Amino acid sequence: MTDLPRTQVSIAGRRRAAVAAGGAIGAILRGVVGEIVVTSGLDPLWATLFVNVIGSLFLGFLIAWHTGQFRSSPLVIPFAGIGILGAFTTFSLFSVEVFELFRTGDLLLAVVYPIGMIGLGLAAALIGIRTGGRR
Amino acid sequence: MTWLLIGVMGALGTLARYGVSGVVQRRWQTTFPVGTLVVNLTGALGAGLLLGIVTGRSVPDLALVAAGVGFLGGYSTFSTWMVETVLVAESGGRSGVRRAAENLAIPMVAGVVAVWIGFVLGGLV
Repeated sequence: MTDLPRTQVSIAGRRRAAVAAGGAIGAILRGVVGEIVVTSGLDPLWATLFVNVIGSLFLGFLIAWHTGQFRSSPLVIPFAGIGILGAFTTFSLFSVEVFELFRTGDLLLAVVYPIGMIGLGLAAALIGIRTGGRR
Repeated sequence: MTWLLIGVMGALGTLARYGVSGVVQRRWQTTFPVGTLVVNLTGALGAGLLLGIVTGRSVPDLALVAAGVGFLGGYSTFSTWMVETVLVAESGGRSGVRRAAENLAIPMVAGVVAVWIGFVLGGLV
């Protein structure tokens, strides 16, 4: 490791720190949304739909916007994109929810829920990319 | 206390995703977003395992929150999957659209299958 330039090592370390800090924030925000949805008596599926669609919108915007920025910090994507928005959204819980809908025999929702999730998620990502990329 | 735990475990899960998807993407040398695919499928497997262990047993809430909401929630990602799919679709013509469709269908079906496998294995523990 000693033959690596010091600046190179510290940049990788700073990236990891930014990813971790963003991940903590994103996970807590997702927990807060879940808490709000459950305490207001809604089905927890709405919480997953909300975080995934909103997260896709913001990530699309961020990626497209950042591509056009030549002077923004190289830590923006690790912190806000990979960290906050990556952790705010969830694939594992989504898959568990679809599996549970099948297992409990709620076949209609087991088909409608993932189609709705992916349809809205894609549309949100596309809208984000289009609005973020417009100069 | 619970929020602190979610934050710490979320940070660890996110770091694990950053590491695993980076290594996988470099190994494969493809423009197909295979790093996100591997992360999400292993995350779904882990979530199924957790579900299988929890079902029919009394597991402390805090442990479930730490592993499920914190670590696995931070580890897996939906937003990256969606944005990468749009970018693959825009990467060129009909093959781009076909690859984007594959990038939607494969993780969706394989994710539920991974949960199922994990669920069965978790029930055996």
